[in-house]
Amino acid sequence: MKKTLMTVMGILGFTSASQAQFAGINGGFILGGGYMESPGQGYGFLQLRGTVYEDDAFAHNLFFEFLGHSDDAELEFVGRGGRTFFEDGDIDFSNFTLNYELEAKLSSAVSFYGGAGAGIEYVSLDDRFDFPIDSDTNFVGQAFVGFRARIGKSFVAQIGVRHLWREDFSLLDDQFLTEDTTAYDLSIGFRF
Amino acid sequence: MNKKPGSLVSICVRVARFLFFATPALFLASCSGSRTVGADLKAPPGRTVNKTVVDSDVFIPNGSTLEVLYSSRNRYFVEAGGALLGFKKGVNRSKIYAEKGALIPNVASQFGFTIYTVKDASKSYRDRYKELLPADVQPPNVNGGMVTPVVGGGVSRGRWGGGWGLWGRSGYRGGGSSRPTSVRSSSYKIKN
Repeated sequence: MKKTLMTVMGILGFTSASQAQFAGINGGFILGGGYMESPGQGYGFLQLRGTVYEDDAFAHNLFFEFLGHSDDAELEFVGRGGRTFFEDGDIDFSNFTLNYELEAKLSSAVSFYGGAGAGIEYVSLDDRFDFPIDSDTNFVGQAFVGFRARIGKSFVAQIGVRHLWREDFSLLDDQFLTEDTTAYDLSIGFRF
Repeated sequence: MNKKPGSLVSICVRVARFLFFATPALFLASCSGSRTVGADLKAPPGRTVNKTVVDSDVFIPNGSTLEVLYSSRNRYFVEAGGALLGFKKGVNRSKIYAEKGALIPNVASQFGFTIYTVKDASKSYRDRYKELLPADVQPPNVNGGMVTPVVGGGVSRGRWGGGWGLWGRSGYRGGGSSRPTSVRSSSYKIKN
């Protein structure tokens, strides 16, 4: 046990002495919003980030992202007499993805980034009182590129474009079509 | 050392005694305000009503004023000459369908609202479920609305037939299915 600890301490000491930074001691979060072409809706996202390697030219980042958007729905009910009536509802889409990102530093203030990720898309249907009616879970993948600017020591702002691959989803007995889409986003973040 | 368990017991007794007296008091206080929950409300003409409104549809005719303390998941239908004011304690997911000439909150200062301009707020209120009642269901009121000020609470939010206490939704759905049979999305097409 003692030997293992000494080995770990030695590795940590070696890596901290080198120019590059390992072990994910850098992290941060990014909050942003954007617009996806299909279905032509806005969305918001939050990234929790960690840097696994960084030197003066590149950084390798991993981040967990929550991306969500919402759509209006119309629920159809059948009454006792066989007559139908309708009510408003919401369909919420929540994407949870794990992503890898390569960041290329163009200057001390600006960098270019690109990467990809995959995860699940949770689709939930609520009535107008936010009572859950039905849900579905599907695969979602994404690839993204963009530019990032450092603002001061701890803040960043970025502009990017991403392509989302989404599966069709099913709610109640209805199957809905989704199209792979391109999306554009703006965001700000904090690094620590 | 011997004192510790005694003081611990004393603290527990005091906390339990506090909770015993405080919980009913807080419960009564929470119910004692003027509230409308899960109901349909028609503001009395020529009068100002001040209340908290949750999960309700509210019609405000010409000459009536409704001052809302807190609003959550409501739909307001405001005629020209009607006034919807207040919201000192906040707004959450509420919609206003107002005629031109209606006095409604300044959108810039209120988050949580979606405002629609309608030609006839009275008709919008009447048709809020697209008027497809099953034949064997008695409408709640000939005038298309029902004054149901729920003072002192006692109306908890339940599912169909369970706890709404008012004519509410189970009645309106005519004892038919509490689960929608199908759903339409405003942005996603159904697969053939």
